[in-house]
Amino acid sequence: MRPNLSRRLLLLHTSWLSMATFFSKDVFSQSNVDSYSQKHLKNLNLKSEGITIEIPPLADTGNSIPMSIQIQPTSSAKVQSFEIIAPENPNQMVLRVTLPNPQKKLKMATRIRLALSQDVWVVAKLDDGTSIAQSANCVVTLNACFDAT
Amino acid sequence: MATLNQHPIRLSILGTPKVGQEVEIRVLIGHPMETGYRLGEGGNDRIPKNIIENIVIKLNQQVLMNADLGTGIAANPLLSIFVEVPKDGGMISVEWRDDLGKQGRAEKMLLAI
Amino acid sequence: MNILKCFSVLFFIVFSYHLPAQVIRQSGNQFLSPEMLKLQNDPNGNPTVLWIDQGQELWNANCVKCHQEIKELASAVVRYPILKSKLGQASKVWNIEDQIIDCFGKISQESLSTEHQNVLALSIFLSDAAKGMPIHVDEPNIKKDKQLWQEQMIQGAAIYTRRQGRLNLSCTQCHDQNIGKNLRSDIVSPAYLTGFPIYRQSWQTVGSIDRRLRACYSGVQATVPSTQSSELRALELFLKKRSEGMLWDGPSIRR
Repeated sequence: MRPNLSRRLLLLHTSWLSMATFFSKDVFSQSNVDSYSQKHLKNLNLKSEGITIEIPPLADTGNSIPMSIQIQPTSSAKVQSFEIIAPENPNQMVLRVTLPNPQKKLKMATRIRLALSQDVWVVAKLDDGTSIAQSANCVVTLNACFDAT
Repeated sequence: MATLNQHPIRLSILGTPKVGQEVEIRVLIGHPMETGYRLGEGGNDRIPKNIIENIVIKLNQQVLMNADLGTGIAANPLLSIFVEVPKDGGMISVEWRDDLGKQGRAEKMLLAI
Repeated sequence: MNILKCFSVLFFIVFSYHLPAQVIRQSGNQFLSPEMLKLQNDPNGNPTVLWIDQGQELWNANCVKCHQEIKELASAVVRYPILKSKLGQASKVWNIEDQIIDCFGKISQESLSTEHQNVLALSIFLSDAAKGMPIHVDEPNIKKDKQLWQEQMIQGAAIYTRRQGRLNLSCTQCHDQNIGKNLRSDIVSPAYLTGFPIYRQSWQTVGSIDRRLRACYSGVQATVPSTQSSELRALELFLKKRSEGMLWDGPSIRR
């Protein structure tokens, strides 16, 4: 009983501490941030209901991949901010969006770069303090020919 | 980009702007979004980093969305957000800022029908 | 032996003018993935629109003094490359970017490259204005120029059919014999010149036909000819003539 409890506490505290990095601006220029690793994001065990990600399963190019996101929390909470995280990118934080007026529904689109095939994560913070997260896999293909120009 | 305006910007409002319905506000900015990882001519030096760091979209001076961008956003960034058309429409404005201090803005009237 | 080679190349040229009825020539747009095609057709998301806007500004500031009617000038996009000579210089093949560079030289005494943003912006602006026009590359009227033009065409066809580079591939091996097949996840197109300049995702910017042809040489690991070289112009002349009659797509998106 005791080992399980302390492990659970450890997980709880690391996840709370790592959430604190969500507010740091420097995180955009950091690489290999632990809290943005695939493993860590999965271990957060956040609910995925309410987030839909549209991204091509097979991308033409790693340089520009269209991605649309719809966040509509199933609870009465409103979405306050969200982040797009690409764990295998050299800079894992791709985009952070904050809404000064939390919304019941947020729909947006952009084009991202992916260094390798990976799961792209969207982690949304709701105005009741909880978070929801969803991931979608994208396989990135390389150009066939070497281009020296 | 061309020497006239180094970073052209195109702000579009797509969809029928009926009151209560959704329209898409789309911003397309001409910016290389240089990651700082690419190698230049000769393959020796890295091309210096130059990315847009922040884009703010406002409706009538009220911030709709504040976006912080990283190197993971594609070159010539496109950002679009769907908003509900308010009763009297309003002025949609976009402001962006990059890490070398360059800035840009665009405005477009959202006329509600 | 030389005559035989000439004859076979000429035969190839004639053959490509009068293709058998069952061959359908497809523009590179038909080989785009659904996402890319959606992007191509989206006037508010296609990155080339940024350059069209720039081109419009440059046109208003520089070109409108001499060239009043945009549609008339846009027809140059589907007529070029042409044989032209400047005072004191021999005739050579000029493409549309060469012409724009020459015009800029007249206005501002600058000597720009084909990849200069101003040159590309104007080229894209003109290319967009020429959308839907059929490609029509004509022989020159003067007998002396006619002969030089034929020689350039023959040289272009010879380049197109010769193996080169470490990969020892000729253009025709991919672009005629292996259309529709995969090169990793790229699908080989027949490489008709219907939509230049292009926004290439791998370049993350726009580039001219000059750059794209040089990239092809690089792709087969051959020595890349220098920009604006006569070899590239001869090849472009041949490729444009090969696309005779096809409708111009305007500036396009590619991988």
